[in-house]
Order: sequence, then structure tokens, then C-alpha cells
Amino acid sequence: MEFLELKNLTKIYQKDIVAIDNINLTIHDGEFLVLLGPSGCGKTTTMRMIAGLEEVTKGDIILEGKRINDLRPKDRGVSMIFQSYAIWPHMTVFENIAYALKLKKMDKAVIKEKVLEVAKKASIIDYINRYPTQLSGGQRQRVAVARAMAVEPKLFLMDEPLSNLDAKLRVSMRTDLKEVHNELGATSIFVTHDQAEAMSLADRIVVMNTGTIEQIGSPNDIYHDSRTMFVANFIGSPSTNFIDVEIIEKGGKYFAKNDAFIFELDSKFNEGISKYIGEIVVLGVRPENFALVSNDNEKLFDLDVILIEPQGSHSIVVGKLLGKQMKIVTSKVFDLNSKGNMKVKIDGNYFIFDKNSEKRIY
Amino acid sequence: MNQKSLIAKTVFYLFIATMIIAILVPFFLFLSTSVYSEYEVYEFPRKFIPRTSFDLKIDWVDDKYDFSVFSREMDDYELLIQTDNLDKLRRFLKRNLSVQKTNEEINRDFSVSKNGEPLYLTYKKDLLYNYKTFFSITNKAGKAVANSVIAAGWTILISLSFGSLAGYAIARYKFKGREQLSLILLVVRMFPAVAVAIPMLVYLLKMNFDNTMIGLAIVYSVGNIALTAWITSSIFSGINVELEEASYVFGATKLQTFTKITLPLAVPGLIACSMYAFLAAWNDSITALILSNNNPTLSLVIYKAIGSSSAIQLSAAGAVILIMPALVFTFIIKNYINQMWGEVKL
Repeated sequence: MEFLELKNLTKIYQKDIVAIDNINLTIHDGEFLVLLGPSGCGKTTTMRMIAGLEEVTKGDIILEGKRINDLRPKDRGVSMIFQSYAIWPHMTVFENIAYALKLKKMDKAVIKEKVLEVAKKASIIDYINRYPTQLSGGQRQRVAVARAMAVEPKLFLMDEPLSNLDAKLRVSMRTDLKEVHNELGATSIFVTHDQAEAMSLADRIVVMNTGTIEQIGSPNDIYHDSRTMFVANFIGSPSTNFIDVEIIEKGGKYFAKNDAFIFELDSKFNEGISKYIGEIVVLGVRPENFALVSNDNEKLFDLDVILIEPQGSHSIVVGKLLGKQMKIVTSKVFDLNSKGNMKVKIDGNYFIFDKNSEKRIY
Repeated sequence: MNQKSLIAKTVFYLFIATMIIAILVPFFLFLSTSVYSEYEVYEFPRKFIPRTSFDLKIDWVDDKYDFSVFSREMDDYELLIQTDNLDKLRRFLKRNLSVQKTNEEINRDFSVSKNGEPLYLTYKKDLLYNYKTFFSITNKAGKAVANSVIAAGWTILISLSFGSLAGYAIARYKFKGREQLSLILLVVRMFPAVAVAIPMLVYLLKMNFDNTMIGLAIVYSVGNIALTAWITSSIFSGINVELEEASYVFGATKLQTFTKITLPLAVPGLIACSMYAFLAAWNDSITALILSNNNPTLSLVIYKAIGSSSAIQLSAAGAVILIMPALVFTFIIKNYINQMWGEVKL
């Protein structure tokens, strides 16, 4: 039995706006699952349906074998950290954390003990009698975390909880959240549009786009084995370079050809690519899978460099090929004013996508 | 400091000063008039600062008291009355000078002058004389104060309980005609009270609510429910929905969420609304005149007093009595008014 199952889940607003289109997803016990996607992709709606804050139009949500579609939020045994933290401003930190426990009519002494315990864990014990207005953004975030921990939920829901923090705090809170997850062992679902956050937190990532699931997999799968052009484009920064190429066959070998270069495809593609002969497909290459070469024999094409973005540990070379912008990541250090042509070859993994369906060709 | 900013500052402070004077002077004028005695009202030029006592001169001439008061205008004593009748003197002191003395006191004090020497003495004025008089001559003034409080209380209760629920619905639920509804709410307020009062009276008569405070409050509430709904809808939409959703997730029902989260957060705005309702009910005299003439409110009593009496000091006292509760109420809740339109601060 899976911990949480979403079966044919659909959400339709105002009769014809499809926010979630028939998604199926299973979540294992104790897993840290991240829903990742651009804004408007339905990730937050999915989470809100699981929390019970949004009605389900069609499909089932099954938690530990029980259908919870029609349960009120309070009866679902979930707890949630909101994007705005949603700390109640008219209550002290203590009252905020104790709110859920008081509603459960727990003993006062037990509540106090419990609140102090989670406050200590979230390191907000010093501010326990303050009001939220007297706290910084990071501290409020910790109150939200403590409040969510206090109820000992079966399921932790986190709706972009780090998006209101500054960059540095975001990274350290990220680590803290992961620690909380590991310590409690509760299943967590985390919604974000920040792929770096998703990569660093997730056991599995669900990439969503326009109400559907594009790909489910571990962070490494998602990055190195992107199934669709959308995933290849959305994951990774800078994102994958897409080049239109025509497939031609010569002597049992397959080549990708365009006006700038002709490139022999790996033999592992032979089977899948054979029906695309003469057609235009999309070659997807991650920026670090290009290499700069000095030798004319090795080069695949010349890149017309327009900009160098130094990143310290590496540089991003921005150039143009056949009028389209390309980005290459290299460990070489350049002079900022380097311009002109650079010799480039493909060195490593690359994807080929069907131009119409945007799906991978293997 | 450069010249331009000096001029700008001067203009700014002049403007502020004018505003303050425009507000404070009439108020002060009322306050000082309300403690004038009849004699002071007819003094010319009028003194801004009312007297607290009178310097009197008593002469015993022809077996009568020549009763004079020191006049600031003439810088001398002005002869006001010649009599040996103590009752007449007592009434004169009371009515014209707001000095309350008994016959025995007057007799004891004044008889000293019978030795031939003019007698100089100072009598203290009763500063609250007009207020006391207002209550004693306007019949049912005490009842009127109670009526006003009751009417205002009902108005607050009715318009807040209906208005805030309507405001919550407009802020939180999407339904057909929501935009139109909030516009219509304002249209309700565009009808002048006088225009609505007669049909209202017909309704109230049918319900046996004429000349009752609850009936009056219902009529006041018509406009106020609309205003309250309008204001509270902006307050409620200023409260982040996630605060309520967090409450649902953490184990609260809808009702618990409303009472424990939404309502406490909306309190500042609701208090501001209650001020509007209070002022609408407290200050109105026209609607009360039509709907509840036989059981008047304070403002109606004062309205009638001002209309019928020539004693402006009594009218002023009545006006001050009317202003005071409103002023106190407003000062208590002034801190909340700023928060009325803005978001609830997190």
C-alpha cells in the first residue's frame, strides 16, 4: 500500500479552465517529494487539494488507503507551511504554535511541554512570547515550521516556504528543512519553482507543466535523463541549448545536419531515429556538454561569441549559432572582452527531441 | 535653509494653523457660551473667556438695595436692579448671573450695607448652571440621553452584525453580481434620510415600531449596513486568506476560524465602523423628528431647544452635552481608524 496516491486527479475552474489535468502520482512513506514547475503549472493547486483547501473536481486522493477527498482539512492529519508563513499576527509565537494543540483539547501542561520542545528544535525559544511583528522574516519562517511540527502530522505540505527569504537565508533554511524532514521522518511534499531548491531537497522531483506531469524522477534522472524538451529547458541553469537539425542517413550511420555542421549520432539512437530520416528534429545539449577546442579538426562549429559571464568557478560563454543564442559552460577563465569566434564540439551527453511532440527520441 | 523651503514651510504651517483655528474656534466658542450667564451673553464686546465670579456693589438707598455689577465694558459698576425683595434678588442672581444663593445668605451678606457704606463683595458663578437648567427646563432630557444611547447602541449592533457578514461575503466568496452588489451598497446611501423617512414611518407604524428606539435604529442601520459592508469588505480582503487556511489545516472549523482568526484581525476596522454607526445615530435629528417625535433623542431635544429658545447659552450647553460622548468615543477609537483602509499589518 502506498502512503499517498493521487488517481486521475483533475481540477477545473469555472467549468472550462483546466488547472490540473488527470494526474496520477504515488508518494512513498517518508519520502521528500518536490513539485516543481513554472508559475501557473498547477503545483500549488495539487498541494491545496491534498490539504483540502481546494475542492477536487474529479479523481481520488487516497491517504494510507483511505479516500480523503471529502474530509475537512482539519481531519486529514496534514500540516502545512504557507508561502506567506501565515503566522497569526494577533497571537504570540507560543499561541501560534499551541493553536492546533488547544483545538485538540490537549492538557495545558502537555501543550506547554510540546510547544517548548518544538520551539527549541526550530531555535525560536528565545522569542516565544513575542508577537510576529517583532520577528524577522527568517524567524517567522521558523515559527511556521515549529507550528507545523507541533501537530506531528502524517504529511508535511510546504508551499514555496522559502520564496520570501533572501538568498543566503534561503540556502540555510533549505538545509534546516531537510534536517527537520530527516528527523521527523514524516512524508513531505514541497512546492517550488526554484529548480536549485528542488534539486537539493528532493528524493524525487515531479516536474509539472500546464496541469500535467512532465516527468517524475530523482534529481539526477531529471537532469541527465530529461524526457521532454520542457524538462530539459526548465531544469538546469543555464538551460539546455536546442538546435534544429535534419536527420540524414549515410552508409547505415545517422547524422544530424544543419547549415553550420554535420554531426554523427551515437549508434544507440539508430533504432529510434530511423523513422525520422529527412525530418527536422531538435538536438538538445546541456551547456556543460559542449567543449571548447583549439584544433580545427576537432571542432563541430564556430560559435560567434557575444558575451562572457564569469561565475568564479566557471564561465558562461554566450554566443550565436545560426541566429540562435547558445550558452556554454566551461571551466576556462576568459578575459571579459573576449569576442569573435570560438571552436566548439559536443563532448558528452545530448538529447534528441521530436519537434512536434517535444518528447525524447531514444 | 534656502528661501524656497522656508516659504514652503511657512505656507504649510499657516495652512495647518488655519485648519486648527477653523476647527477649534467654533468649538471653544460653544464651550465658553455654554458657561456664560445671561448677563454675559448680552455684554458687548463678548468676552472669549467666561467669568468665574462677579464683583458686586450693594448700596442701601431709600430702604432698597441698589444692586450693581462690575462691568468690564464700562470699567465701572453698572446698576442692574433696585429692590428690597429677597426673592426677587435671589431669582435675579440665579437667572442673570448664574449665581445660586438662598434668601438667608443674601440677607446675611447684603444687610451689612445697611450701615450706609457701599458694600463690595464677590459672588462665585455656578459654571454648570446652564447644564443643570438645560436638564430641568427641557422636559425628558434625561430620558432623551438614554434614548440616544439606546438608539446608537442598536444601530451599532444591527449595522455591524449584518454589515460585517455582508462585507465578509463580498470579500471572500465569488458569486454572480458581486461587483454590482458593492456598488448598490453605496447607492443605498445616496438617498437623503428625509426622503426615505416618510415611507419608513409607514412601515414602522405597521410594525408598531414608531416612537421606539429600535425602530429608529433600524432606519439608521439601512444606510449604515451598506457603509459597514463596504468598509469591512475591504478590511476582510486585506486579511491574507492564508491566515484562515492555516487555521483550517491546523484543526479549526469555519466558525472557529472566523471567531479566533478573522474577527480579531478585523477588530480595528469593525471599531471604526462602529464609530460611523454611532455618529450617524447620535447626531441625527431630522429622522428622529419624523419617526420618533413623541419619544425624542438627545439631538432632537437640542434641535427643538435651539429652535424655540432665545437663551443661546442653554442651546450651547445642550450642544456640548451632545458633542461630549461623540468626542470621547472618537478619541478612544482614533487609534484604530488609521488601520481601517490598509492591510492588517503582519
